[in-house]
Amino acid sequence: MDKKQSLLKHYKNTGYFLKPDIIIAVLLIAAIVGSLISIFSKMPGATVEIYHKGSLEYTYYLSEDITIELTYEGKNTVIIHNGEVFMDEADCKDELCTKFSAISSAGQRIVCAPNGIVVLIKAKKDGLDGVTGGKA
Amino acid sequence: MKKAVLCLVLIFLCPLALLMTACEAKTVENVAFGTFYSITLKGKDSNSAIKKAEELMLEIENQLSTAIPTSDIAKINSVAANKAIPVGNHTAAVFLAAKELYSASNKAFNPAIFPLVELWGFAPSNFSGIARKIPTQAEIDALLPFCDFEHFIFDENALTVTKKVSEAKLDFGGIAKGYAVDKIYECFDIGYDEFLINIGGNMSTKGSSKKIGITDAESGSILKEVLLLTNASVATSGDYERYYFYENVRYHHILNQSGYPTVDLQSVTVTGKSAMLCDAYSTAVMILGIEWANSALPKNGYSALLQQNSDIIFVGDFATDG
Repeated sequence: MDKKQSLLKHYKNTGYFLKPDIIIAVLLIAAIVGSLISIFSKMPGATVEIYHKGSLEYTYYLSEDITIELTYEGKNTVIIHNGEVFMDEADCKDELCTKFSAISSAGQRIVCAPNGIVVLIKAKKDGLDGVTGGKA
Repeated sequence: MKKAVLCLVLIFLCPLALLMTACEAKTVENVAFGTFYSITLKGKDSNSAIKKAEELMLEIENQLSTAIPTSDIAKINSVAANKAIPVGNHTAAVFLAAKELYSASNKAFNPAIFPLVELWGFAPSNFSGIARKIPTQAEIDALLPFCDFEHFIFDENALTVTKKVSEAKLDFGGIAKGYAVDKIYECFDIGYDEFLINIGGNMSTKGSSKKIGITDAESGSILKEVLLLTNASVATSGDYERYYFYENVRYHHILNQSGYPTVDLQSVTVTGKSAMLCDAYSTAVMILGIEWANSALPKNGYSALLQQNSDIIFVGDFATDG
């Protein structure tokens, strides 16, 4: 009986796993788990995302207390404190972003258009899809 | 038998995982029109579709922005009377739509109010959030005659705009973002069933219902009334968007026909089919008030949520979540 026939007989008649079976199963399971982690890791929210000209530069938890200094076209200081986010300083002409009320709800943004900065509280899975109104 | 079951499970799970990854919506977040934009699109080739939408948005901004010196509007504003300025297709479309809204709103929705917006210090070029003085009645009276949309003549054949008086100026800021949202909607509508376009809070969506929070004009937080937006658009105008204090009085950027900031309503959120009309109606209602909202919006298929002091007033069939 050659090797091929032996393998066929094995697959037809036994419930045991061969070494290659286990390797393939592990690889497939790892791929599935990896894909699912990649998808679900993006779902939970309460994060603060900071974009510069369309590029996501930083992500923080809304629950942490932190001061973030941004230096691109100009300088901006974003503060996350007690579950709220606000623009503490900006060197742009109108400083409109520093006059925004602190934001705390998913979907709210602070925008510094002259410096190309958008600060967004990312929606939780069941959060708001958007917010209308505001100083943006 | 065990192996057969395991194989079946794996065969089922693999495509499922791949399918979930492939169907993930693509979102971009960036700055345009002096504010943010956010586009979420689900479907194949979403990256290139969003790229085209961004190019379209830039094209519209480059024609309509008062802040871009080479735009049609900047050229119209800086030119002397009786000189025809060639305009692009977007400027032409917005001009005609604004003209209609100007008439329909008893001249309350008025893109020609810009000289007074500048005088008050609320123009993008001169707003600082700080006032050392406010305009006198004499200064307002001097500019009011120039704030008439009838001073602008649009030639449909030559695609030009000519103004009758040199001092007249235009600003389509109360309609341009809504127009851009509508144009992007048109691009996505063929080929995509699930998307949300948001330019500075002017939104339009297709597909599943979206929960849209409304900014509380008093606190800056979110109202408990959440709009359930289904295959429709929404826009908000509020007295908290651009304002300053002078001698403990708050002045904001939405001016009435007399050239003064409105005082009746704090914010107006309008929902309906067209984002451009939501954008324009929200400004018009801020100026003309509840009575006009009741007479004009529902008959045209639009509804609204108005904030007046601490009261919430609904106009028409405004769909809230829960």
